[in-house]
Amino acid sequence: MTKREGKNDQGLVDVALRDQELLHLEQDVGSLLDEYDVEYPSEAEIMMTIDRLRPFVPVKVNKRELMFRNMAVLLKRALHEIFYISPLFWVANSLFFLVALAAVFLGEQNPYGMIMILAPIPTLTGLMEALKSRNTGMAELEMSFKYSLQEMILSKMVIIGGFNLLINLVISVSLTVFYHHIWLWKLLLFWITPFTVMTAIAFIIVNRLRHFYAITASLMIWISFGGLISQSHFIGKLESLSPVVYILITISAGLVIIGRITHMYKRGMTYELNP
Amino acid sequence: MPEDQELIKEILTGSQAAMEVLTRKYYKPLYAFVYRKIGNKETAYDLTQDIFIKMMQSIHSYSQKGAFKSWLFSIAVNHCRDYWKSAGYRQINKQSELTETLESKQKSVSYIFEQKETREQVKHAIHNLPEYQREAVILKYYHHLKIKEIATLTETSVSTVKSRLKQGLTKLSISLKRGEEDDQARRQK
Repeated sequence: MTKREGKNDQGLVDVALRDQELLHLEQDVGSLLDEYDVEYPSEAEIMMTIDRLRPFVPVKVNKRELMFRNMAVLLKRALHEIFYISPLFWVANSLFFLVALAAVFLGEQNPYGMIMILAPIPTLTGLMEALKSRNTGMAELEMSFKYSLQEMILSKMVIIGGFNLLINLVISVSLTVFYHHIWLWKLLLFWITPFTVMTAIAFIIVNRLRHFYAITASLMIWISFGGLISQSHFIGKLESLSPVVYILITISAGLVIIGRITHMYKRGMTYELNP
Repeated sequence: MPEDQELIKEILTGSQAAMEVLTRKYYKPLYAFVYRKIGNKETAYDLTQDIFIKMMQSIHSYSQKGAFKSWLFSIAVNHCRDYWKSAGYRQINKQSELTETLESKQKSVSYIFEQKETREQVKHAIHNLPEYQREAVILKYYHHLKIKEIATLTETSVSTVKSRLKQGLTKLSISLKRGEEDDQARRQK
């Protein structure tokens, strides 16, 4: 047996002895310790404690149900907001629709380029409409009503986005009905991509930028970009790009939109009421 | 009876009923621990309520790995320790010291033994133990926790717990036997 093994054995014996000693002590005083009984609080007192705990129980939330409920509320409010959107918005966008059709049918413009240019314009003009109340000093008044300003802007954005979607679909379907050589899927891809990208930018503007002029600037930038697209060599390059690129851009922009909407709904916006 | 883990899951999804079941399950053991540690009924009631509130406030952070009982008792141990340090305890302690002084003037020290109130003897003996020894004895003897569990929830080593238990039980043995002898001596007189 080595010295270390001997020490270990001695240590184990010591531990066993101490445990034994502890057991004896427990047996020695055990019966006496039993005498220290406890008088418990009454049932009513226990119930009072339970009632004090009730507010601390997390509130039961069915996430799916809550999501559907929020969406229903948002759509209902959006329908209500239709009546508060300026007639100028509807007229201007109907004109865009006519311009797009005329440019393709009469001006024999490239339909893909045309739809790409026009796709996000209703959203950008709609953003002006959505922020109009803030700019005209109506925001404080709106905030005193039942819904918050961000909820109202979100509702307007839903209407504007929906309208843009509808107008683009109508243009796409009209073009493919009259021009059989136009490929519908390609047309859809050509308007969905700029539409989602510009909508994402619009939501970022609504959420972050505090100046109305930022929207005007975005609109001007997009129109200049439109001028570039209308040149045949540039549209040719865009047409040669793989559809995967468009799809990836659309998905990324879509995620930004979802993120922004969630952010607006949960936290509200931080822009100033009196710029 | 549903397992603690199941009850906690239900509480986290908003079940008031599960909260009630869990609270009732541990109310008496927890109250008994606090009462034996503090020795005052009203304070023990308030502290037990506070401990359950703390439990509810941090129930989402309970990891489900260890036993719930140990987790709950660790909250209780820490809450009682905080109480000892608090101004509230010092206030009550001063009052009880004053009461004890007045009582000792009115009655002899052996009055309790004359009344053969063994319960009071034990209570007195336990409360005369240093805090850490008292804590170890109560958890081991009245709540049947293993030495390792006591070590975990009091954040100390197994050997320290054993040492605290040995010292505490030795003191209790001496104190309680002396009390018994005094009692017998009084009876013989």
